Amino acid sequence: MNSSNQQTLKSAALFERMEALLKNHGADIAKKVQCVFLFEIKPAKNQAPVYFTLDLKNGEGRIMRGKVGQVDVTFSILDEDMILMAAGKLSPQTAFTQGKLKLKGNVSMAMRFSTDILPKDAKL
Amino acid sequence: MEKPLVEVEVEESKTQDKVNEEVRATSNSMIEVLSKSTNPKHRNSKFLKFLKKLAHGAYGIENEALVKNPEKLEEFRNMEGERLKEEVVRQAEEKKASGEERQKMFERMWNGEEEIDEQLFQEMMGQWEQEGQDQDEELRGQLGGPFGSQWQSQVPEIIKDVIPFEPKNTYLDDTLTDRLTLAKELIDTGRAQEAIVCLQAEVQKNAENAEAWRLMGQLYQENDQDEYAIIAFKKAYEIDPYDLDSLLCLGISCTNELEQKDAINHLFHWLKYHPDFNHLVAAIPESADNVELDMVRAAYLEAHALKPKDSHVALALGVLAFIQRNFPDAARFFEDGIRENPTDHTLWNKYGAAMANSQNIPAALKIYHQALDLRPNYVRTMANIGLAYRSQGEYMQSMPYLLNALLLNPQATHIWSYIRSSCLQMNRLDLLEKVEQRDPNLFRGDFPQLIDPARMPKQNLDRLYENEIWNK
Repeated sequence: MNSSNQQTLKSAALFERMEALLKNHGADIAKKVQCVFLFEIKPAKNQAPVYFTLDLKNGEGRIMRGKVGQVDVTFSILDEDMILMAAGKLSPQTAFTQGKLKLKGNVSMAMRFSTDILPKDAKL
Repeated sequence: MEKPLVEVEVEESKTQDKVNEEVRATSNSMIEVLSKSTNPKHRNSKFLKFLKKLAHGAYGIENEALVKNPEKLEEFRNMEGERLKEEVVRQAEEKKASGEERQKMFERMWNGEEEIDEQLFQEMMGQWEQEGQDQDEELRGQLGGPFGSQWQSQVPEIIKDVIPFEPKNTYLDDTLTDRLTLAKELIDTGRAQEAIVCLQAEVQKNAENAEAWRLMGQLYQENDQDEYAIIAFKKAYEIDPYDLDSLLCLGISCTNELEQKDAINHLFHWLKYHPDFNHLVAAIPESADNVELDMVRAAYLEAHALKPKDSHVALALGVLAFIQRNFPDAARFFEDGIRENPTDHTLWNKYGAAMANSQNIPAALKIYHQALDLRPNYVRTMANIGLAYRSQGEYMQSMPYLLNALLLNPQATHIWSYIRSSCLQMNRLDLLEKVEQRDPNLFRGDFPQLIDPARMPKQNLDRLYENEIWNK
């Protein structure tokens, strides 16, 4: 994986921050969601994507860099749109219908994803 | 006077048509999910049929009661007949049924068609709610709880381009002479909501009072309402284009609203109009629509080297780092700002926000409480504390802070969505019922920590120098 990509990826910190949530509440979420999501995030169009695997199926759930294990659904999205989606300024449905969010894999499982579990930024 | 100012108008303008439009939209998305189901029970359920009639307009909802549209109903029946024929073919193929059996199947389905009366309607509305908790594996994922719900309905876009002014504003009284001073007194005595109303009166009487607009903007910012803050700061800036404080504040609010280009542009102009620093940006062309963050940042770093004790420069550098999502750097600059200006509660809040976003929640909480010591009715910090707890799955702990924020500022209605989400994550359906009523007072029995907005504690400076920042 390209490490310089990861540094410029704005949404990387969002995924990293999920560790704290999963530690305390992951088992509960995993029980409800039962799905492994792969996020394919492009820093910009025509740039190589960076991958994050969000396992909300096993145990307490896990967030990992890169593509890890068997994946149920893949979301492809631009870095900046991922930030908007996490902030609640772009709903997954709108992103999907506008072609900003692409799905691969089990579509009905994709619907189990909620931006509720992404950390919200604190405000200045 | 401290009642929600926005809600009233919105409710009134929400016409009957709009309600039915919403009903139809929701029905349509549920129909989509149910019709695609591989289970024939879902494809032909009473509930689905009911939804289809709603979506078609055969039935509507007026004043929470069901009304029938006979023409549309007839139209729907003809359409449904066609679909039923197809459904029979589909099921017959699945079951390899004979011609005669097919005919019977069709008749059964057709005759199953029933008028919807009030009782059936109530039953169906009950089912609507229950579908969300359906234990059926397939449906649960799509309709259940907080998961999946986002995919069913388009989030209505609420455009906030006008500040809703208090309709019956007693501060418009002509015997009042100096509303600006009065507003400042109200702020000092912890009555920020009242101060906003007073400032609204002032700008209605003196639309060119830039300071009143700016102060209003700052109060909205502290009240967790950046959209209105931006409107007010822009007014101040329009009246007085060299108003540095408004430019800096615009940089902050635009960053919060993820309008990064605007934020960078405002921060660039702060330097440009600053008598001590304008030479640093002389090389950056005035007409540039999109000023590069790196150029602005380089100029601010020079300014910081020139005047390391200028807390505004440190603040702006922190904001720029925040835009880059380099939160550890942002924290360092806000720290610098606090060293020069330790009683500025807004700097403590920003420092806490940078720490929270860089995953250091325990430190962030401590810092946020410093901000609350300095400004006990600081709504933004309360909301931030709620978000900090939520970010590590401590939903129960988040609740009193989010509710207190709403007790102080009922207009910050976006906070209800965090509360709703916390209740769902905790599986506390009992609390969810109270959420729908939108009154934080209903939670007083559940959370003894809830405050009385009329009895807020005074500023407390005792712990100001206890933070680790002073040992560095």
